[in-house]
Amino acid sequence: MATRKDNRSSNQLRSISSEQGVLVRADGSCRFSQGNSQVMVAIYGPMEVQRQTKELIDRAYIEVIYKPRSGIASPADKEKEKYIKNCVEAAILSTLHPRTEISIVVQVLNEDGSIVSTAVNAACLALIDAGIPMKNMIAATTIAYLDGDLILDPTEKEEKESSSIFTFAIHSQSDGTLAVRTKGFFSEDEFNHASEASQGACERVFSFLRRSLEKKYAE
Amino acid sequence: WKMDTASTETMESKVGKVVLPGDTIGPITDLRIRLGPGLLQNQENIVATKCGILRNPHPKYYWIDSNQKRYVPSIEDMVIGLVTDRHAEGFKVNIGGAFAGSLANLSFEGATKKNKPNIQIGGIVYGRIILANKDMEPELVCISARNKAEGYGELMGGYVFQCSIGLSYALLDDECPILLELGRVLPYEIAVGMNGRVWIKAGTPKHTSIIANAILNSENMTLDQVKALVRKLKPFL
Repeated sequence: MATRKDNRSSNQLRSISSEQGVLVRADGSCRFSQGNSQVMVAIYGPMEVQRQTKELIDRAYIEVIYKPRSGIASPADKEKEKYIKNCVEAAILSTLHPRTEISIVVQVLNEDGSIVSTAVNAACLALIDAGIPMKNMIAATTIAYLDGDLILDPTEKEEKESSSIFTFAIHSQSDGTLAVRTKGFFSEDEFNHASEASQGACERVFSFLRRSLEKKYAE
Repeated sequence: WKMDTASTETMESKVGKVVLPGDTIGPITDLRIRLGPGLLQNQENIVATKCGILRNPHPKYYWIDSNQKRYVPSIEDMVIGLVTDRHAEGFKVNIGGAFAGSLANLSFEGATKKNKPNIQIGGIVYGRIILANKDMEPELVCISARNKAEGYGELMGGYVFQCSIGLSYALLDDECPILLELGRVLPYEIAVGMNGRVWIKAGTPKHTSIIANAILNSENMTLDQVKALVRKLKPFL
């Protein structure tokens, strides 16, 4: 397999780093980076619902706001919000806080590919920092097909040249895919290979999350 | 919610270790145990819902030690509330949770229909939560289980600041290092709310400010670090 521009192999993830509790006024926060892609997530809640019409009588209303690095959110960003919301809703025990709102604000600090999987991973750590009860953890990775080769965690340049890009999210207590979003043209076989590759990649993200949380709470 | 395959590790092996949301702590072997914050039963297993350290100081009680900033009301919690509204039957009190609590006029020592407490909007009260469940508005009272004030009621004067839930629990410990060390060098009065709020009253505004900052900075300190902190403050008193 040909090595990539940054000398990674096709199934090598960029270095991951995270920091929790960065924002003083938020109930929970996390700054997360995968290579040069960096995202900051703030969690507010469970708190009173800001817009009365959104109040749900049996569970918490979960709102995700995605803010790009510059400019205002576009319709494509709204789709990212929906995807991230689907991922976190599978993890949060929303029935423990009826008639409240849990607000997840994602601010992109630097964009260099795989931004949505970075956002999902950051959201998971931020929710843990906020003490929101969850039934499992979530991890996501981005996979792309570049010149017929499957690559993990593409950079922005690699994404621009790829024929298809997939973002897979899995949760820690179940096999299979939790949520997937795709862009481009691909065959069923390509999709299945990407799905298989995502399992191993997300396991690596989970072990990073576990190690960083164990370090945080170590006495 | 997928079941973890047969967990051969017992609960005891996870005590004192960091657990993550979704981790199966162990199968329920004894039905008499009580599950505290951060733990839930999922069919035959006990599962963690928060990240933290599993504690089990008494054979019957298990919980997860974690910290957060947002308060979630729980029965029997002693809290510091801010009165936001008055009506015929009582007060609406901000206790820092998702919903305001209600405090009835008669829930004070010596209160009768003719003799209602005269607390204004903006007043601070120290109360005890008597009703807290996820579907209902929380209720508090300013009276102990023996129908006496015993410290509950309006807090006059002083200064209120916010801290994390974990810090407020640590402040309630009998041997809390920062409070004991500060008490050696200057006199002050303190009320700690389990909702992440602390009320202090000291001789001068300068002392009040020093105490508040010292408490907030002491959050992750060891006993020696706390002693060093107070020693450094002494010349400024």
